[in-house]
Amino acid sequence: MAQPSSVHLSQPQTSGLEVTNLVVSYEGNQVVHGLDLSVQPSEFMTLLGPSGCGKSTTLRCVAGLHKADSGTIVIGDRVVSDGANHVRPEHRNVNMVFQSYAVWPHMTVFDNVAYGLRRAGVAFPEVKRRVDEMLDLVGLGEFAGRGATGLSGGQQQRVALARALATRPKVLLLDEPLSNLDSVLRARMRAEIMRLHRELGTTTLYVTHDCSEALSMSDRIAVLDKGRIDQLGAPVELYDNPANRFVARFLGPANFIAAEVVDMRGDEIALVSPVLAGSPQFVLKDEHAKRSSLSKGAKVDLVMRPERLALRPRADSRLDNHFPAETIHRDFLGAKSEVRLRSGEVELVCDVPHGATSVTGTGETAVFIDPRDLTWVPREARSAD
Amino acid sequence: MDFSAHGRMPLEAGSRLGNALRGVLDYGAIGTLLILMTLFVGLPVAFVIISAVLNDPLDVTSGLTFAAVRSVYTSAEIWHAAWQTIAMSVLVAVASTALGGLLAWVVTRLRLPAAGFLEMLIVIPLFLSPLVGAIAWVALAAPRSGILNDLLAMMNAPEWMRFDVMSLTGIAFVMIFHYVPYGFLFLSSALRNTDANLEEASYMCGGSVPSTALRIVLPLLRSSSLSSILFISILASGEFSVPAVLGAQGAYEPLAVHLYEAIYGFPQDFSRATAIGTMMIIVSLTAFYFYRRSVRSASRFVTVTGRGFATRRINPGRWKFPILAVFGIYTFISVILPYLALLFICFTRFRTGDLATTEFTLYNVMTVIAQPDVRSAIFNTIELAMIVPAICVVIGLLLVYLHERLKLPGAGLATYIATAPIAISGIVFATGVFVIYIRTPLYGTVWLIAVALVAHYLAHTVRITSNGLKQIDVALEEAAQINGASRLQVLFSILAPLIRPSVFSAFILIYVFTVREVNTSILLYSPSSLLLSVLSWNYQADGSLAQAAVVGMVQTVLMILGIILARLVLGVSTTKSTM
Repeated sequence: MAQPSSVHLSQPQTSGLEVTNLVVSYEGNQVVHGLDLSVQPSEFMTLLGPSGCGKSTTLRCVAGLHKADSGTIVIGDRVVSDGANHVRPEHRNVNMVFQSYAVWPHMTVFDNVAYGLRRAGVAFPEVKRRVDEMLDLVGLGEFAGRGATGLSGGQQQRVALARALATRPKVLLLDEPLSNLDSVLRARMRAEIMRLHRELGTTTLYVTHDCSEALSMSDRIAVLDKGRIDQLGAPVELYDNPANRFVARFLGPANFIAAEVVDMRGDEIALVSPVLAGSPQFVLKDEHAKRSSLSKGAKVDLVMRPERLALRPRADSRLDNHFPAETIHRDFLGAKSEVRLRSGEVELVCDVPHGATSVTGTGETAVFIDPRDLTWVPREARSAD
Repeated sequence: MDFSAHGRMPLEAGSRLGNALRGVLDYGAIGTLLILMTLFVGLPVAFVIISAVLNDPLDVTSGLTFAAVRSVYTSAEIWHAAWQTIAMSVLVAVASTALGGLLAWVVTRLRLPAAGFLEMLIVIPLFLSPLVGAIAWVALAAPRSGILNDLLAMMNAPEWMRFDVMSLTGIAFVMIFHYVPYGFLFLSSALRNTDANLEEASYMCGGSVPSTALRIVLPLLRSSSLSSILFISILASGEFSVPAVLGAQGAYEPLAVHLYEAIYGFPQDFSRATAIGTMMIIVSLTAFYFYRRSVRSASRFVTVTGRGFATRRINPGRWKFPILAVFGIYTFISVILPYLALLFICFTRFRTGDLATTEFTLYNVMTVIAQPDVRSAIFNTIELAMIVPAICVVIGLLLVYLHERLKLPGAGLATYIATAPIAISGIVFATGVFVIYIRTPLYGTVWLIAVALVAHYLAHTVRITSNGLKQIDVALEEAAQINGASRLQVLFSILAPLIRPSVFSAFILIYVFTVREVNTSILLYSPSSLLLSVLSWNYQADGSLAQAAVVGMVQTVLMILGIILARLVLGVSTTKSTM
């Protein structure tokens, strides 16, 4: 273990994390199938996915709380797990914030935060200095002497954060840390975690099933499904160019419209959607290399985010990216209205911002989407939504 | 970052050595536990069965014979006793579960003053051993000489109003009141773990309190009630002191009494004793099988969340005073009356006439205290009451930790063996211990009794500590580990302080059980390992009820002192020890 006292707060200890070909079983079932993940020093990486996708299991393998069947885990330049041998969690110099906070009820706030430093044999004056520093950092300076049981959920979460950061871990692991908080506290703690990450620069692996947490906090997101990474990238990249239907859906609401490629020129693709009223033609700008897998006649699903659709009074069939539709229902949600439309065989959802110019009422209308706002995913056999 | 460019540090050899060392320790612990469990739990049970078919029950090499088994299993008298044992045990279990359940519902669901105190009143009878309780009731309600009957006679009450505790109803009555606290502990913990919203939903739908109790609470508690009934049946079927003291003029002789007579009668017949033992094992194992099943299905209805449900209690309104009166009557019958009777006979000379001529005297107390036996019995009892809970708690904790936390293979088996004796009556288990260890230096020492009692009570500590451990979030330990604590440090800095309340309540429970225990020690004591409970048994067997009562009071004082000490020093609450 590195001498913790030799490092100062302002000079974060940055280490990367490299997971290679990780295979993990849990209670007899294989839940992670050959996962590769590379986290840069000081990066905030999020594992995003539904429950049972293997994200928490992966995190626990990095922590050393669960043993992988095979695959290597490297923290900094140190192999901590290679399938056959596993460094025990207490020797990995990582730390973790648990979903249930796991603040020890029989200790004071101070003792909770000091625990890891004491285990590392740090001398008392230094322990005191660093615990006070951490508690000030999370805004619990006055609570040091309090018992841990009387704290609110948000305060317990701060104690858990301070405790995890006090040991200056090479990698900070967070396992759905906000899921037990109410929505107001959740937003506040989200900002808090990001501020701490900015100030300390600790390499962070964050597990969540909440896409807004993932999108707002991460440098990069790895979307997991059924024990595999479906797509890994920056939040905006994932949102705008999902690799498949699952990623597109998981990051936010989306309309999927079946279409066929009719022409490809430069970075533009022309498609026709026979399922929409009037079989309209679409043009989309695809600046990514994804289109190299396409050829004329390929069947794809167009992805239309509800907030990118614009309603027009009347359809003009000569224009691309334009199709007639019928408004069937309108939900007023305050800042926006969610409008349910039908066009041809499909129903789709469109967000209309609330304001003086917004189109109201129901009946005949037209829908427009900008070529740069349109993207696509490969057609999948099962497309039950 | 390209790790291969500057080379990786391989897994260090230190952690491999550490892992290997831990493995040796783990499996060493499991192996030791398995051997201990086999030696002290498995063997005695096995030997009850083996000895029943040996020519000489104390010699394994003496060859097989089925004479004893045949004579027991074809005896009409024994079959009658078996039937009586089952009928009485089930009756006692149903009645005490019903009473205990009613009290549990009142305490957990109604808004009553001093609920904690009421709860304590319900469990106080646990401290009165069944033997001493039976002695008190003989003094109170023996057909001719009982104090209550004397009082009735003084009031010229008609003959049909007289009490007779030395009858079938009398035995059932004393046993039911002894087991009510068990039923209460079973059902109150089930009620606490059942979401009261289920009942509140019924009130919302227009259900009255009685119809909710009948249609919602009762069905929800069906499995827990069944577990309680089966558990109490097992205990009651092995209870030998109450029927032996009250006797019912031979109208009720359960298997346990037959077994006792085979060993202490003339001629002494161990083959017969072990053969009766096998029959008792069959009866209680059958009940145990259904008990395990009922426990499993009971957990279907239970929502274990660790935190209690915030329930709005029902205001009993004008029922408050009748309900409090019921508690008063219960306490009067189960605690005040027996202890008054005990005090009375402790301090009175043997009466020939009526109550009016009673002389108070210190004679009984003095004769008992003058006995050198008594001092050594007190010393032995205290020694045993320290050894047994301590060993039980240590082994129980170790088993639960290895099994439920480290999930080591073999730990499950060891736990299973350790909890099995709960299905075997104390007197039967003692028979097995007796035939194995009679030829060893252990025989005649307090340690032999300790072995039998540890094996018999281990199941309680395993259950209590396992419940305690289940309420501790594993993440608390993982958080310590990831903060750099080794496994031992996690054990001592996190687990030990958090599980302390369960450990203390297990200790207290076993302490009380050990002080009052007579079913096991009656077969295993020797003049050098006399216990208070055995002494009081012997006094009453000689007809010296007063001396037996004095010894019984000393036992009670020991239990109360132990509990007060635990409360003051350790801060343990006794009523919270969940069954």
